[in-house]
Amino acid sequence: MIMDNISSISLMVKTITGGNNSDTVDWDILKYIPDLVERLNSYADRLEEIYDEIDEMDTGVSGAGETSTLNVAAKQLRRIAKNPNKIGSKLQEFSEGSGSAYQLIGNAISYMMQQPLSIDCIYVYQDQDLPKATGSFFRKLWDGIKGFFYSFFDTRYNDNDVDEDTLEVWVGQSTLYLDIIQSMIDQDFTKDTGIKVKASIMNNVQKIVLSNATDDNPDAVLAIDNWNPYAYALRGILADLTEFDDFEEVSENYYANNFTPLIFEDGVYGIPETQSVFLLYYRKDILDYLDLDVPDTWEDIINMLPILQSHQMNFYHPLGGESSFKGYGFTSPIIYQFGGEIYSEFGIESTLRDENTIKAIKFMTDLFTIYNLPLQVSSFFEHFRSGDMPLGISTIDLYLQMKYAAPELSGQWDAVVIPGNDLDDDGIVERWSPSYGKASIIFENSDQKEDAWKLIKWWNSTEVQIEYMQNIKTGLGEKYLMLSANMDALKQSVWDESIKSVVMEQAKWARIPAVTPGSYVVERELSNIWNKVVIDKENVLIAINESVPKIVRELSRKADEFGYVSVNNPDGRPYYVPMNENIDRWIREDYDE
Amino acid sequence: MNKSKRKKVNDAYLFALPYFLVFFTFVIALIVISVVLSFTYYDTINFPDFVGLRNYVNLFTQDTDFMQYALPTTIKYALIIGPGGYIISFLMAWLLAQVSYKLRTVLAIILYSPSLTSGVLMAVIWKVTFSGDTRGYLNYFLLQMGFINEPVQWLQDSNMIFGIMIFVGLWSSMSVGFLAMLSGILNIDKDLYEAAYVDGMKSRWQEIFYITIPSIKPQMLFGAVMAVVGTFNAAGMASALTGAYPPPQLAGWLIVDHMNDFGFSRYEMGYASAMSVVLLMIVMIFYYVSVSLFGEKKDKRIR
Repeated sequence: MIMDNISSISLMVKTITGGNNSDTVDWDILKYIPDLVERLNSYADRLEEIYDEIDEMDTGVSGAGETSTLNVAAKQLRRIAKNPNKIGSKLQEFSEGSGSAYQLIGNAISYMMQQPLSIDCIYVYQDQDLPKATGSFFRKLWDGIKGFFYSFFDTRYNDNDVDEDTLEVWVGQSTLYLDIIQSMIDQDFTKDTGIKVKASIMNNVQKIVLSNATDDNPDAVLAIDNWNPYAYALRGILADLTEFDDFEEVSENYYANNFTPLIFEDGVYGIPETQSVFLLYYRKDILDYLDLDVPDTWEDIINMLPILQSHQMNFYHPLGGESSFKGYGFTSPIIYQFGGEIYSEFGIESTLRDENTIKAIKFMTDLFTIYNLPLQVSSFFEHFRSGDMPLGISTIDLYLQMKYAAPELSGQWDAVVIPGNDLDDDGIVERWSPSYGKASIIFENSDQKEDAWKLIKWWNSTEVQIEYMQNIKTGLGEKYLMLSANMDALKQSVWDESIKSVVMEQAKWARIPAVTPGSYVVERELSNIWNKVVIDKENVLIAINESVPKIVRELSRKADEFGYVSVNNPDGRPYYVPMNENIDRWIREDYDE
Repeated sequence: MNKSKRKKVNDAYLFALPYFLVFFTFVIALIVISVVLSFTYYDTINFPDFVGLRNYVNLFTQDTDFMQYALPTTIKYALIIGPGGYIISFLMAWLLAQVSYKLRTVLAIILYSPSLTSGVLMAVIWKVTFSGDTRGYLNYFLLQMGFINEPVQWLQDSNMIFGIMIFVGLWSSMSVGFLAMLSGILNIDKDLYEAAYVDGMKSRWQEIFYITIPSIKPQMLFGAVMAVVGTFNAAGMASALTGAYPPPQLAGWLIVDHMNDFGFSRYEMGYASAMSVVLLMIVMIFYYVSVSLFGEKKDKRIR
């Protein structure tokens, strides 16, 4: 209640001052909000009342830290009420930032709502003294020393010493996940099939190449980032999974586009485990105040920008994120949404000069040069929370971050599918977005390929993935949850229903640019084009024309290296690039050329 | 007589053996492997193929990124940070030598720490300072003071990245060479100064040029060599600052960055080795230059 009022006062003040928070300007705020002082003081009174009520409940301690923030917030409100015309420069203390009254109240509420109780053991006793709840200093020290020495014998980091018939698996995840994975394998997989599995951490993908050189690579790897396997497949150290008869039983659970980066020539060299989605996040309270609807297409966004910007607010696009490198994750969705392509289907050449692609590149630079989106945002979370970017595109992580780190805003924001374009006017808005995630792979030189395939099949099956997400949520907490790429599993997973339906809807539009020999140069040059146009104010077509020769040269150099068709070598082997139109050729058995 | 003399020589070799073994395994052997690999095509997975001089030919005739960005940027960076950091190191060491012991210790740690922790501080201080966000320190300050109306893209503008790199490089350039010079200055015999004043020396400037610098020549040489090797081997600074790999329009792209890119992103180890051999040559040239500038006569025999 009080929080809503604070938030609306803050928005009113910002409308009056135009976001100018310099304290050298004298505003006559009281002329516009005459009852400001009374309102602030009444909120402070109410907060102190609540504080006293809670304090009486807890007889043991007076002034517990959890609720004392209410008192601090009340004091802050009174201090602002003393000098109401300066509120414009005091918004940090009032409604924005981590020490503001708004935030302090929100923190107190979330503390009071969740009071966790954990029980180590229960004593049933009569007439004897209870042991102390905490150990003595020396006891703690001794346990610490023991723990330190035990860590040398931790088998999770030790990838040697496995006997012949044990399946050796590396996992590109932290210990927390590894413990869950290993125990699930031991309890289910080994029990059912009799195949022993030893999982250990792969802390660095470089390890794969090095271990392959000395021929002691594992049999399979789980949870490797899905842009990595291509380089290994290209050089022949991975097993082609389509050679297993029941490949399609597994692949039918996924949107085919999730396989794109795992495809090389005729083979598919991995099974997607997780996926990522981009979602459009928006602040309900602010859009309501500005009387704006949630945008559905890029046109809607462009139309609402003047209103946002006249209130010193803005829209966030990840192209204006912290990194100066604008990778495929940010550039490819716009190209696809405008009907562009990044590679041509046959042979290896760039299609950046195609009409639709040029239009898309022009749009993604116009967003920043004409429509004035922020060029570099260090933390969208902070801007979204404080409300000066009430609208923006981000990953699923922001959902969890907002849910846990910004409890004061609960119910004030929501996520929907990202905006797109309706190219063919059929009423369906195309919302392509990349779904980079993790994948499982098997090595060609493994002598237990069948067993490894069984493991990967089992691991990515719907029931196991559901159980895995369940275990993560109960064992590690919701904050550690990931999105399974297996759509059936995701549908029945433990994610909150509200966000799950949005994610399922967005996941339909998964589309990842293919990896080809030398494809990194296209990604890099796209980033350079964006940088030249937006920062150096170069013309779009000139920037593209500067980049295309570089792309063509590197692509044909790499094609020559592996003997594919290129400018210098017209008789080379043809290379087929997997794309949205032809992806089923690899993934579905009944594909008709 | 003859026999015992030979025995002495053998003993000496024995004493040198541990050093020689370590030097051979960790320096000589690696250089030899690198030179051998530079004549091959090696994708780090399959066995290397011998390709003769192709890597070198391609490096100098085909690789525009190397000739246009990596090589000139590295030389520019080395020529500014090398002497610049060297002069700052000397000045700081000399200034520190003038203050009292306790203050000196504290200040020396403060000046030395950036070169140790630059990776961490890069993220904590410089990225936040030069952030293109309106809330980046520098932008926020300039906006508040009214110098600019919209945030400057310090770390996205390819024209500014190199300048910022130089700034951060100078800030973190007071490394081992600085410590060596400091201890060198502190060890100069005070009598020398007194004698010189008796002989008619008039100012502190003369003191620096006639006594201090000649007395710490060995440390000066060490500092120069460290500066040369350090600046040529620098890598990844532009990427760390901009959070981009590769940095926008290859601004601040150094030879070692280019080498890592070919070795680890493009899996062309043979080509990367060729680049490392070229880099070794460049470093050696600059090493001889610094030896001839600062070395004593006996040092020149190394040539």
